[in-house]
Amino acid sequence: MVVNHDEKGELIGAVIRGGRVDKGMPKFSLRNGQISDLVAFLHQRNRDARLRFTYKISRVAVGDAAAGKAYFESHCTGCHSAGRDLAGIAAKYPGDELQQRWLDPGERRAEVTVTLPSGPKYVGKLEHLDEFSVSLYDIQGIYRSFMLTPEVRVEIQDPLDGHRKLLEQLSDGDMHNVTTYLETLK
Amino acid sequence: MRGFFLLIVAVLFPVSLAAQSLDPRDLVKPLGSMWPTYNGDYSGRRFSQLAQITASDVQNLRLVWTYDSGNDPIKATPLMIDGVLYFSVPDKAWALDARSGRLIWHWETKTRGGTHIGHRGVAMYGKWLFLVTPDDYLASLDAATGKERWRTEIADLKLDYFSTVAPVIIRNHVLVSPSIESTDNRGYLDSYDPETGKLQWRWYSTPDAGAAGAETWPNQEARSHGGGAIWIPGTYDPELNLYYFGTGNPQPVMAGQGRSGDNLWTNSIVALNPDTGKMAWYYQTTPHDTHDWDSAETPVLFNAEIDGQNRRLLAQANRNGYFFVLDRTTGEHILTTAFAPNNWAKGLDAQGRPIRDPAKDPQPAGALVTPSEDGATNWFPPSFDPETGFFYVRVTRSAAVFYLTDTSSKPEAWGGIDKTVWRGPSSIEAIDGRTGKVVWDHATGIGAVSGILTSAGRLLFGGDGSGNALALDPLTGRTLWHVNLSEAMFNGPVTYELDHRQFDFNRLLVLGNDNAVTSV
Repeated sequence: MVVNHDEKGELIGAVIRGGRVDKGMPKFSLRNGQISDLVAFLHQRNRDARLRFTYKISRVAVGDAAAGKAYFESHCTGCHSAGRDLAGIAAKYPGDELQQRWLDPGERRAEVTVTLPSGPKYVGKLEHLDEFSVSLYDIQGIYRSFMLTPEVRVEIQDPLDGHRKLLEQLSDGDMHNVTTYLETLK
Repeated sequence: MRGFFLLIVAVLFPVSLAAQSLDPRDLVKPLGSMWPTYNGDYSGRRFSQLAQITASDVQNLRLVWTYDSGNDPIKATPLMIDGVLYFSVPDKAWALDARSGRLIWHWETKTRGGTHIGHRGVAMYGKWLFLVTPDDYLASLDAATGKERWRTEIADLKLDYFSTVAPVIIRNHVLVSPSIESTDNRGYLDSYDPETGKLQWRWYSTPDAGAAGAETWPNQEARSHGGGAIWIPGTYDPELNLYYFGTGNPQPVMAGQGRSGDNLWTNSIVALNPDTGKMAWYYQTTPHDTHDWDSAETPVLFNAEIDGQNRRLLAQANRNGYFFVLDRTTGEHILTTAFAPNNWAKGLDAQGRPIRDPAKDPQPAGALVTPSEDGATNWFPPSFDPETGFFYVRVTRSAAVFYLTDTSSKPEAWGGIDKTVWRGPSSIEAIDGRTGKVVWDHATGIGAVSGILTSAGRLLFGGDGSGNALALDPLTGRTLWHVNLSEAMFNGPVTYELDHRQFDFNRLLVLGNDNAVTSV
């Protein structure tokens, strides 16, 4: 409270000089420069504590790289390869960012196939889907949209389905192991 | 974030009116033609008796007017009293003609600071309006003109308290509470005199030294900085004379090692006497929270038969993924069910409280937790339909990695950070109030955040993540009507009745978050 109410050391300085003898804090006779250093430090610490997006995450590669490699080979090699798309991945991202990226690689456009009751099929990149309409960019890059009725069939292939399924079953141990393994792919 | 707020109203009064006013004694009546408080009435059900709009004519709803309120998201529930709509954003309030959307007055105050995260709305007592400001004033305005009558300071801005809540009026009590985001403060609820602005009582969210509950904190310092902000207007049972509300997370938010214990009465549902501020009972929904899962969600009041007995109940769909039903006379636990996926609890204890898995507390190298900090639901108003017996809630699926960044024995503020790794689909769920079982789940796409309204016309109103306002069948969840409003609905729909012959029907009003109040 003292630090929050203090503007330029007037309150903090008084506490340092006068102490809080009843609570066991003695009086300190410090030079003005020393007090203003302490005031600056306390204000900085107070600001830092509030700004959580500047908090530093510690080392995340705390698992077993060999176990992580085994998990990777049994769950991930359908789409990924340590020697090709993930080669050098650890050099690109700091550890915590690498961990977040393999859990959630960010948005990828899903593939969609729309089959109309009259027969025609449209395949392309999904642009929008709600319960009333669907839209896509087809292979020629042409935008198409369709009203949804029970007879219109919509099939979606999301490249991130595998990542989402993984999140449902992944233990913290597996997460740390895989991150530790990926950290070796410098 | 974008969104809309729906209002269905049918008010009707002769066109020549006395000045708008509201007798607090009228607030105990069931919700009728007006929408006079945040939740419409004290029960928190957001269920309207109005039955003119029904499944058979909901298709006839059409846009009547829109009003552009500027750039601030409207998270407030508007009031509709005697043909006038009152709503707010941080530092600003409006009175609009509910028939035409014409501006009657606009109030704006110059802020001295405070977090401008949102504003839940205004309250009315007699001919006076009450609202809080982000810089911690409770202001009273003349409802007829928007002129400020007085203001009083309710919290210390220098300690980073800020204010967002909509006041609740019970007789001559104006109940308000400040919010806490990062600084380790102590939450509280205040009661002010509506005439003078004088403080009547204050209830703190953590116990005083020596009081029951103090033993759930390791020491005086942790307890007196322990958080428990009260974010959302509560509900009230006039016969029991108990006011119900939820408290927020303990502080520091994510680093719990300096506050070992359950940390009462943070993340709890609390019942207290509004005349004295004395607590009648509490029920903690998340003991020793480390994920920012405020138990702020509206505690909804209804009666139902349980084991052959008619019981006075209270239900809350909590941010932590669990649905709780309590006896609202005593706080006795009735049932707990999971309404959304979670991986942070190891089961339920004898009182139905989730048993926290310490391995899912924030960890230096990360813990993968479902749901994320945003929770399985959040502040979006739920609804309860006494005709179906179902509780309706907005649900979001998510996962995040929670990191502990301050491993010292005395962390401060957050002490950790979370990174969302999955923002999954949202839905509107119907939960049976007697069993806690999910009856239906209506998918609404990614990012939908609207609240919910039900009506005696056998309709449920809400929104999806694509800008569609929806009317669903409350029994089955089937879609009956929709209109695309271009922006996702942000707040709970409301309804009222207006006697305006040229329209024949009641009208559905939609309040847009970014810039528009829309009447459909």
